[in-house]
Amino acid sequence: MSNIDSIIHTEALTKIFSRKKIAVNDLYLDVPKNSIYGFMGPNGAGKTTTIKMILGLIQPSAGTIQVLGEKMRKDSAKLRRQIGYLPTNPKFPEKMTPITYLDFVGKIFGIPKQIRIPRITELIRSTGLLPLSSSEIKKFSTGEITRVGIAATLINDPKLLILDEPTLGLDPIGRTSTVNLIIELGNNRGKNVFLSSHILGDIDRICTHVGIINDGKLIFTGTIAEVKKLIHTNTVELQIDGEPDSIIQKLKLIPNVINVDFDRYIIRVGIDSKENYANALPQIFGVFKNDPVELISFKSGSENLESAFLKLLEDEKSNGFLRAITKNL
Amino acid sequence: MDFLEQLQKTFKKISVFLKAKSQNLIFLTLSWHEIKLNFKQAIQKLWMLALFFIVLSGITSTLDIAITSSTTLFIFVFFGTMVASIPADSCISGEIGGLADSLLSKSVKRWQYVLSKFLSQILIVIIIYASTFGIIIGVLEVLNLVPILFDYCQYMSVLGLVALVLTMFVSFGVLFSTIFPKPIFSIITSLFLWFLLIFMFSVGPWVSIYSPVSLIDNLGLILLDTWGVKLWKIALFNSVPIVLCIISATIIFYQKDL
Repeated sequence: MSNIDSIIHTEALTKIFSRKKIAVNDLYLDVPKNSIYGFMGPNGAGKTTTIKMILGLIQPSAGTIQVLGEKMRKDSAKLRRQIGYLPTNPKFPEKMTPITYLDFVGKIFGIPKQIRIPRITELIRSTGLLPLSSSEIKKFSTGEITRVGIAATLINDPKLLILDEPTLGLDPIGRTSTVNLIIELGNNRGKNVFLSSHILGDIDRICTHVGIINDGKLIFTGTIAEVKKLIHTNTVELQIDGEPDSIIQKLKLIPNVINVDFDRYIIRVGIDSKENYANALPQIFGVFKNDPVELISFKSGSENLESAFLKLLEDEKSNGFLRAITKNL
Repeated sequence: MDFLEQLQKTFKKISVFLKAKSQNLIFLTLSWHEIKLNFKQAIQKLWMLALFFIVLSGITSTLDIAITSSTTLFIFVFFGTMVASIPADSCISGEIGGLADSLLSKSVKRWQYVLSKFLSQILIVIIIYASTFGIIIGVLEVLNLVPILFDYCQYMSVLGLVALVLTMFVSFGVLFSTIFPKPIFSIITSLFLWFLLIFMFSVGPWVSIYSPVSLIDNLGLILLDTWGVKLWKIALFNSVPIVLCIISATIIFYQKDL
């Protein structure tokens, strides 16, 4: 049954290559409208195969896919007009310049000249390609090629953007500008964004929702807050500058604090329960009042997406077989 | 009334034509893009064509149209077929995972992509071939070296048949590039096929007439219209594989996972 609130909806999606390798296994995916959905997983987990099936580039072995409320097939060219796709390490005709390539893509979408030309100009400006607009693509760096790719995905003003590892191989500057561009598209221009990555920091920064895939199976889907709740440990990490002894003593006196550890400028404070977590925080910060020790940074026990990701993968490893059996019973 | 009816018919024809044209706009855009790219690459290799003409002028010092044509056809049949099929061998498999994914994730249909490859690859080869003979005939005509009773009709038939042979090799190249995942496999298969078809003349008398080499060997007889073989049979022999290649490549590519 189709879910009208979903931009992408898959049911029992499965892909087996050459009757040997299960790339995607019984995948149920719902990407909510107006979200930036991060599709996360280790290398070889099945992210790109899933994306190619969503785009109709690969025929699923079983299951169904609905994109923007319509069934996606290999010949769904009309449906693909509403989608912008950026592949991993995009490749373009080397002899072309960003302007000629965008013009070519615009013609493929059948965009009339009077709309196409102003749109190309706007895209060249917004993706920061203006100084490179008349240079051949073969001279471009990875970051610049990614920007050409993003501009090409936007030429048809798509409702849905599918970006496959958009930050892969980029230097920190290129990565930051790409991340900011995606955030701008998702938050300020109202695009639905579905992006895959194994760079957890990027997912954490960009996405509102996340799906975690491992060995072709979706092991978690929900909001970023929900995934972090999974590893909520009732701990607080405090990075300090100065002698820690007095602070440790004061922290141990707080009623709900059960454990205080210190290791290389970081004090880890354990709180007895989730219910007392919020009450204990003001008291924890209070110990720094009138103390020469300076609090440099603060981290809650559920902040680290990487920990959540690794915990989910570990749980999947140990419980996957059991879950499969109980599902079939 | 007659005039109005005719006017209506004309308008209908124009609207049907425009509708068909707008539907195929993507196909035309793709084909035009491919042709432009191929031409750019060909222009960069113009020195090869210049070298070809220098070698040719050295070989054909007599400037006789039959000898010049025979030598040029020999080069096209033995080397042109091989050279033409190599770019065709990588035209699709070389783009899978790159530009093909980008194009097919947009509003391009698979048949449009495959047919644009066929059209562009065939056109580029035919244009180079036709230009070469255009220059040769032009030069010989200007120098008044073509005999008055020269049978251009028979001559064009031979040129057309060799063009068909070139088209057939290109078509096989494009077909192989849809079948094999890597261009190297397509090139090896094309070379095997090239060897098989070009040296088919040595197999036996019945098969030998269908070999393009027989056209060169019997050029004199064909021009005098005394060769006992029906040319349409050779045309059919070379045309059927082209059609089959186009149909098979479209079907195979439609089934293919990218």
